[in-house]
Amino acid sequence: MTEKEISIKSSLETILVPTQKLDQIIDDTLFNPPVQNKKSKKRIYQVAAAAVLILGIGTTSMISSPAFANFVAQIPVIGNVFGYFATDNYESYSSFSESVGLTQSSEGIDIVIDQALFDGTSVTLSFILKSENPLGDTLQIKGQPVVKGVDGKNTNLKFEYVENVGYVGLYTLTPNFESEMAQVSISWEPDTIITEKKEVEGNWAFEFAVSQISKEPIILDEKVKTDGVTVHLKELTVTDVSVNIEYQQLVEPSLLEEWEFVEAELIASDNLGNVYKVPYNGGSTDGSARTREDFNWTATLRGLNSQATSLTLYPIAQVSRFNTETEESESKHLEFDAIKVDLINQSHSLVEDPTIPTLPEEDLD
Amino acid sequence: MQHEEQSVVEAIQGDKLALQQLLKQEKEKLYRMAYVYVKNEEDAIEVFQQTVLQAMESINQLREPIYFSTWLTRICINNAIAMLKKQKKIVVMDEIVEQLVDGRSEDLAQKLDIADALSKLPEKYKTTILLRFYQDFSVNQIANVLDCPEGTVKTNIHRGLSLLKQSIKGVYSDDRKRDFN
Repeated sequence: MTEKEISIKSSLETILVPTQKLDQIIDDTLFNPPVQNKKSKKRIYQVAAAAVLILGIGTTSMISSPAFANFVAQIPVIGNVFGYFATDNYESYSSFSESVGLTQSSEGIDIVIDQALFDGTSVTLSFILKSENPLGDTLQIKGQPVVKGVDGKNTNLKFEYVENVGYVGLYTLTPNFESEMAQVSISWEPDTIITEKKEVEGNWAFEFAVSQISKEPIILDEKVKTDGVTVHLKELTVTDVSVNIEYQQLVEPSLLEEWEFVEAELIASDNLGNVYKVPYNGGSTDGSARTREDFNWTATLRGLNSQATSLTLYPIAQVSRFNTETEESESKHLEFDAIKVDLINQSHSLVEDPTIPTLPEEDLD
Repeated sequence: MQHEEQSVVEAIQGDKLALQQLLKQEKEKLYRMAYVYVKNEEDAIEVFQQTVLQAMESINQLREPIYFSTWLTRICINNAIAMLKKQKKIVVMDEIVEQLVDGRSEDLAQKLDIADALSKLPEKYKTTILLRFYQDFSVNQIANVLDCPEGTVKTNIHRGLSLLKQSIKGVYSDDRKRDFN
């Protein structure tokens, strides 16, 4: 092997470590805790408090050891957890969700499942996690909710820490729904709550059902192809809160003789000039896959303007490889014909050689 | 890093000398991980200090001694990310190189390129790459630390490595020898 190998590990070894200073910190912190740590902690709380103000939620009164029976009634955000995730376009979810209102208490930590929504592609549930003692502004939960009887698991967790309330969070579950389901059963048995301050093992267990909200599926079954990559747009489903798109990427085996990775994604725009990101929920392969890069994806657009009458989907793909001769990575960006979907009469048409719109800056990763 | 389980048990039970030894064994990795996030010595030291403080305050909550390294790494990453959120500092990459080391060889320059490229990666890719290739965590361990599905971890490793490869020259031995798909 002639090429020079470089490891990430050895590259990090180039960062000089102020060893003596670190030893001093360890010794001082353990045996003579410095005063300035308190100052640092205070700054964290101030940041958390500022976040509350930005979100417009005023919770000035401290909830002091409430009796459990009064616990739920005293949480000021019940029915409004989705409101904390407005920047991710979840505001409308609150209006169309079912109230769940289940509460479990264990080891001094109370978990309330506030609302849940099933749009046919994903189940989104909002929850509140509260402790009598402050928990800090980080959270990890061991034990994720699952859709019973459905295989596959793509789970996403978002949360915010709200002073005097606790954590407000959203779980989004996107398993492989192979058949249409009018109702799904959700099971959630978190067993450990981990925060920056402590790790708590407990027994919280929830089971509940959620009915699917109404939706309008529009069959697309349209294939667009560029340079050995085909994007098969299968179906678009419009609900009151989201637009879900089912698509598949199909890669010619010959392309993978030259390239290693392929990833097809979508961008969308409406007839009013709004541009939307359409992040995928997760991908899977099935028995029909001819290559290792053949994937089925579901992707979700949230916050579609209610005045929009048409939506154009722009598939794009990134194809990449590592060239061992030049020792350089190479990638190419593929663009495809777009599909314009009329949301009123549910028809669609091909847009050849479209100009791919640019996402608003705040939506870029 | 594998620690003497007995030392961790003693630290959990309140033995500060045991905890002192354990932290000194981990200090270099913790500091370097913090540095890749915050990109300057002063902040990396503050992240390290917070990490040590929280470790001391909550070591008695650690249930499984074998997870000591995982637990400590999680505290360090949380502190580094909290620091970034607080500051949102803009750091010129040249400054990082200057701060890293003086008088580099060709080989060292390449390593610096990787360190630079790594520090510029989006947060989610940086975290998974560091945990996988610097801390030697398994995909399953990373999924537990970050509380996300293993598929997401794999995707982020895959994408993070692709981004790294695009921005620098060289072949990663780590990439070759590990099966992360």
